[in-house]
Order: sequence, then C-alpha cells, then structure tokens
Amino acid sequence: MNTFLYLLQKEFIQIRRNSFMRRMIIMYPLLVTLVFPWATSMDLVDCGVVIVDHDHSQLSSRLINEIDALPLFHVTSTTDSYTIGMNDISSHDATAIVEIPHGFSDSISVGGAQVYIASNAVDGLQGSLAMNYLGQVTTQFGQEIGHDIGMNTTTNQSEVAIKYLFNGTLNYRHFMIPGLIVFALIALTAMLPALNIVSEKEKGTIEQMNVTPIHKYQFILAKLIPYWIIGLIAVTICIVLSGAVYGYLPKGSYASLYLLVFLFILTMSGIGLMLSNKSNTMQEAVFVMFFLMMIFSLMSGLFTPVQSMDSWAKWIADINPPRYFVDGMRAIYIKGSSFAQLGTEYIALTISSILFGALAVYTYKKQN
Amino acid sequence: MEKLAIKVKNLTKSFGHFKAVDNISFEVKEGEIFGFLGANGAGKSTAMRMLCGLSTPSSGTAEVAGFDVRKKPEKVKQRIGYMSQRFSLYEDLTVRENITLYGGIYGLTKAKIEEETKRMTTQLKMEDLLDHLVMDIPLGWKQKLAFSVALIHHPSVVFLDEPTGGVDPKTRRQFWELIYEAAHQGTTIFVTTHYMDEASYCDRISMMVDGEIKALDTPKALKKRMGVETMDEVFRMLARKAKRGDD
Repeated sequence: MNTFLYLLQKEFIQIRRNSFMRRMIIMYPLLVTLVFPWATSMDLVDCGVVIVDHDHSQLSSRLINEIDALPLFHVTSTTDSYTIGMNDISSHDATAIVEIPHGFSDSISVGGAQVYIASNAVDGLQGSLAMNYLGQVTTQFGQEIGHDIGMNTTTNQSEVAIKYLFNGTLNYRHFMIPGLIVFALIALTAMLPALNIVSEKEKGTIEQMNVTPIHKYQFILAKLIPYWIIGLIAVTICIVLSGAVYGYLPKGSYASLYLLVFLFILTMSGIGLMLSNKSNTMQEAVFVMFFLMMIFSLMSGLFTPVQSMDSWAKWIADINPPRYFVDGMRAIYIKGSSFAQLGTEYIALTISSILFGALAVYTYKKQN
Repeated sequence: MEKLAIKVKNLTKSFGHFKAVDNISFEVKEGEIFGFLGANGAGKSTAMRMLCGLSTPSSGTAEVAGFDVRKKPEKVKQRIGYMSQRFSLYEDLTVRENITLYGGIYGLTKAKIEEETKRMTTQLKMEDLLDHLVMDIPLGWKQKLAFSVALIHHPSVVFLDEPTGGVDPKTRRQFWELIYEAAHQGTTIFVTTHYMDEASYCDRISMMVDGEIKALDTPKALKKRMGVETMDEVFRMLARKAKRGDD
C-alpha cells in the first residue's frame, strides 16, 4: 500500500468516527430540499384582500366572488368604508384593497367602469404581485361582463397571452432547489475541509505531518478527496429527495449536472484549503468563511437576478464562482440545457477550479 | 574521528528585526544524547524547528543526518524522528491505527508495520490498549507511545521537544529508559527540557540565552566551571543574564 493510501485511510477513519459529520451530510440535503425552498419562496400564496364595496350590486358581489374563488386570494372582509379597510392592511390581515365605487354596475354597461386597487408595498414584491394579479382579474371580469351584455370589448385590443416556455407552472421551488444546493456544497466542500485542516493546526498534529517526508500533494489530496465524495453524495441525496418528495427531476442529463457539480466542488475545496493555509485558528477560518458565504450567496443571483444588479455589483457577480454554478444548475434542471449551451458556466468553473487549486497548493507550506 | 549527526554553523533565524536564533554553532556526535536547554523564549524551539526542516534558516548552515536542511529538507525528514511539545498523535485514531499511519508514511511494508506494532506494544506493555482510541489512554502512556512512533522508521536522529512536560516522575523515569535504549542502539537524541535532573542525564548540554548558545559541555564540566553543585544552579546563573522576558 503506498503512503497516499495510508493518509486517505486515516481521513476516512476520522470522518467515519465523527458522528457530527455524518449528521451534517444528511442535514444539509434535507434543509436544501425540504426546508429552504419554503422559506425562500417568492410565490404569492393566499393573499388577503379587503373589499370596500360602495355599490352593493349583483355585479359587485359577482366580482367579489370571482376574486375569492382564485387560489391566490381570499377576501378577508367586505366593508363600505375605506378607513376600515385600511385597518386590515395595518394589522397585516390583508395585502390589498379593492374598492368598488358607487354606480359600478351602471357604468360597466356603458364601458366606463372603474375599480380602485391599492396594495401594501411594505413587502414590495408581494404588493406588486398582488396589484398585478388583481388588475388582471378585474380587467378579465370587465371583458366577461361586456361579452355577456353583447359589447365587443376586444375589437380594439390585441390580446396578450403569456406562455411560459420553462417552468410552466411558475413553481418557485423548481427555481430554488437547484440553486440552493450551492449552500450544501459550500458548507460541505469548502468549510469542512478548511476547519479540518485548521483543527490539525490547533492540535499540532499537522506539524508532525510536516516533519515527515510526505509530499504536500499527497497530504492535500488525502484531505480533500473524502470531501469531494461527501459533496457528491450530498448532491445525490438532494436530487433523490426532490424527485421523491416533489416529483421534480432535472430535465438535462445527469452527466452534465455532475460535471458542473464536480467542477464547483473543486473550486470550493480549493478556496477552503487556501483559507485554512492562511488561518491559524478556527475563529479566523470561520469568520472569513462567513464573510465569503455572504458574497457567495448574495452576489450569485441565487435570490435576486444578476441582471437587475448595479453594474459594479454585476462585476462582482461575474467573478463569483457560485454564480456560474447556480446559473448552470438552474439551466440543467429547468431548461434541460446541454453541455454546449452551458459553455460559459463550464469554462468559468474550470478556470476557477484550476486557479484556486493552484493557489491552495502554492499557499500550503511544509516549511516556513 | 567520530561521525557527526548534526553540524550547525552560524545558524540564524530572524523575524523582522528580532533574532530568535542568533548565530549559533555546535556539533552533535552520532549516538549522543544532546540536551538543548534554555529559558522560555530563548529560541530553543525555533532552532529545533530549523533542524527538522519545519522552518527555513535566515542565514547559516545546518547539516542533519548528512543532509543540508536548507537544500534537502525532505531528505532530512526521511532520516529524523520528531516529537513535539504538543502531543501530536491523532487522538481519534486507535493506538494501532496511529502506528500503521506513521509506518505507512515512512514507507514501511505491511509486514514490517505489523512487526513494529508488536515490538512496540510489547516494549511499552500496551498490548491491551492496542485498539483503544489514543484520547482514552493516560498522558504518560501517550508520550511513551509518541516517542516510539517517532522511532518507527529507525531514524538516525530523533528530536524531542519537551517530551516529558506534565508527566509524573515515575513515567518520566521510564521515558528516559526508553531514550537510553534508543541511544544505545545508535540513535542520536536531541532533547529540550526544563527539568534539570533530566539535563544531567544527557551526555552533553548546551544552554541558550537570548538566541545565543552561552555554554556547551558535559553536565559535570559545566558544574565544575561555574563552581556549583547542581545543574539547577548552572541554569539559574546563565539564565539570569537574559534580557528577554519569559516568553
């Protein structure tokens, strides 16, 4: 058996004996597939609407029923005072107010009906989504009524029909799960090996290793290989779990997915190792890792689209490896993109894995 | 002329303006037990780390086991054993796994590793502890084990950095028996210690003060030269001149 295999065996024994580690390998995929997608959801679900009805007509109650019947909305209360309606907004029972003016049903027959919609923009996203959907609902309602009473409301309007090519049901989970895997990989393949090496520094065992004739490549590879395997296992658990629980499987090939994952793991372990070479204590390593984690997740387009970032922020996102991973994973999962279509992502991650790998080896010193 | 295990000439290590080790020169013969003494912060550990290839000298030369530590540090590492001040076996591995690991690192064959494991545990009377995690065995045992593991590849020089810190007198005694046995078999022992009784067990000792070697001779000759009875007094007389504080 050669020296390298003895080192590798040692790492595997240590990981096997560490019950904390075993739990982490399972916990991360569980969180990523079963917990985080719900917490990071930006879907508009069951949004409360207050109706301020000044018309009290058959048509106004028909509109109310139509809004209430939609899965996105529920009518919290119907009142005839705007002020009372505002109370529901203040107490967060409702997100939007639909005010139906006096004479609504009379004016609709002559084509000049108006409905006033107000929404709470404290949560801007929810507010604007509610506004949008309610606008669509009332417009459609107007057209239906017009149609019923024989008015041709669509003559001068071209109808816009939206067809979603990918992720047709607009399921936010389908968008988030492939991206959230990034967290599991950062934690398992950058943070854990970094902490492992720093803990050897703190205990002094690394010094004993440095005084032996083992080559630094042997030491580094023996340290990292177990975490590469752990990363691949965690991703596999994520894929299997989201397949089993949501019936959600990648549209693209597994080969292209795992290649992307592996390139990302190489990048992350390189960064982790570099970090551990430069830190002398756990505190230092954890602190820097936390800092990097924020950049990795907030500048990667995971939560907010890179396209809508400021130009300087875009520039940071462009050199942020997780950005390419998140983009690539989403493309493979949702669009079923092929190798060729993901050229940029593969090239970017190949460059980053080589760069950080080289820096990691360079900064590891057996001698100082 | 006797062969030399360690040959140090004008060795210096500076960190900025601070000279941790300032122009030291000495020689250690093969099979000798060489005591390397000095107060805390005198530069002992830094000097020792340079000799082990853990630290690059700022200037000067050092040859250990026939190789230059600056030019061929990895060759030196193949020929030396090292046991550091901090306990350095893996606590979450068993006694057997630790022995196997270090045996494997130094390129011993599987059969040889098994043979060494057996010899070592018999010598240390640790047969029953073979499959215990190292963290579960008492400190004294750990230190004796660490010493034996440092010798697994039969190095020509072994460096011991305060090997008996925190160990009870009985175990210290046993530890020194192990050292004598290794020296008897031709291994050169380079040891730092703060225990003056241990210093008098050495063939020769050197005293480091403020990064420099202030005295180097047999314990007997040193006591005679200073006109004192014990090593303790020798140490205090020399260390008194130190300008650097404790650490």
